[in-house]
Amino acid sequence: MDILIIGGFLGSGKTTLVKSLIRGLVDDGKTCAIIENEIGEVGIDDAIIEEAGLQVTPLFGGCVCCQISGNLISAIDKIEEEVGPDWVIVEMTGLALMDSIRDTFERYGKADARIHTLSIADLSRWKHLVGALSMVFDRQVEGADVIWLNKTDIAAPTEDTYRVLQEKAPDAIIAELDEASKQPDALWMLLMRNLEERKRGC
Amino acid sequence: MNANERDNHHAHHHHGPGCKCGCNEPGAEDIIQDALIVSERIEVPVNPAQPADRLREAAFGKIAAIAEAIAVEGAVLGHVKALIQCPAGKASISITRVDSPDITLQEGWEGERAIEAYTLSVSLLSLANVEAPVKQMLERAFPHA
Repeated sequence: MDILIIGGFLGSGKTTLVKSLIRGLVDDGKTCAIIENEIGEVGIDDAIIEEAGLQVTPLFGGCVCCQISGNLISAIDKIEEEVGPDWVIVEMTGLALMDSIRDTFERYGKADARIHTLSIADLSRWKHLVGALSMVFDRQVEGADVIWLNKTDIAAPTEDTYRVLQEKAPDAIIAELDEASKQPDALWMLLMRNLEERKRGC
Repeated sequence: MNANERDNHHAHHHHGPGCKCGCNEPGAEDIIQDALIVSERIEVPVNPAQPADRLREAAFGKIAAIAEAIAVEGAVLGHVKALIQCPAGKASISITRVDSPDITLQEGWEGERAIEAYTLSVSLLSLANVEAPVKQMLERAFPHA
């Protein structure tokens, strides 16, 4: 079973991309389970995903890396035992720190688990991500295998964008998203390509 | 140990409230700990009944105004989301930039349907303007049952 952990700052587009990814994954003949980790007691993201006809196990109460690390790993173990999907996709809260998530899995997860980390960077707020929010943003990209640049229709990436990201995450594969690449099949194939590139780069 | 070495020497026991090495600066966890987080589910009565589209536009307009109140240079340093659930269907708004809210209507949304009540779920997180009285703003904007 492969586990994909999707992180990225609040509002970076994770839920929209998750919806598209899972459609592409299913079109590719794979099965998946989704875990939504949302801060707060009202489930808005899972209501949006459920509308797509999928069962969601919500994890409320705070950032998984802070409070409920145990629950996340237990939930994944339970899903593996009871459902046995090809993929588990975990959409993290927008305040989760990718480096902490990786540590949690490395310490408490199964030794043979295949973990992949994807961070979504919102270019429309780039100035703020690398400015006022840099303390958080840095730790959201540093642990990522793949970084996707989102909302490129609002703000295009520059050479400086790549330079900054490569400094923060030198091993990560960086890809730009546009409307075409966000379509389900294209997005899933992009993820597969990027993860393969990352694996070859190790 | 010479003067430079003394200045640069930072054994653990030298750190303290006045230390200037950066050990007192907030880290990611501190910034997150201080975040403004508001998560509410509000049952909103509508009397007299109104078309769903009109209610949606009014409700999302109020949510957008709250987002603007906490934004920095037009950007929400966090996320403001709201979901309307009513007999006409579901509609959601997602705001990270004040100038480009993202509104999604569930397939089959019946904009003309007369609605007497709706459930509004609001999730607001911000790492800036953390003292903003968002709960009071919501109560004023959506007097509820």
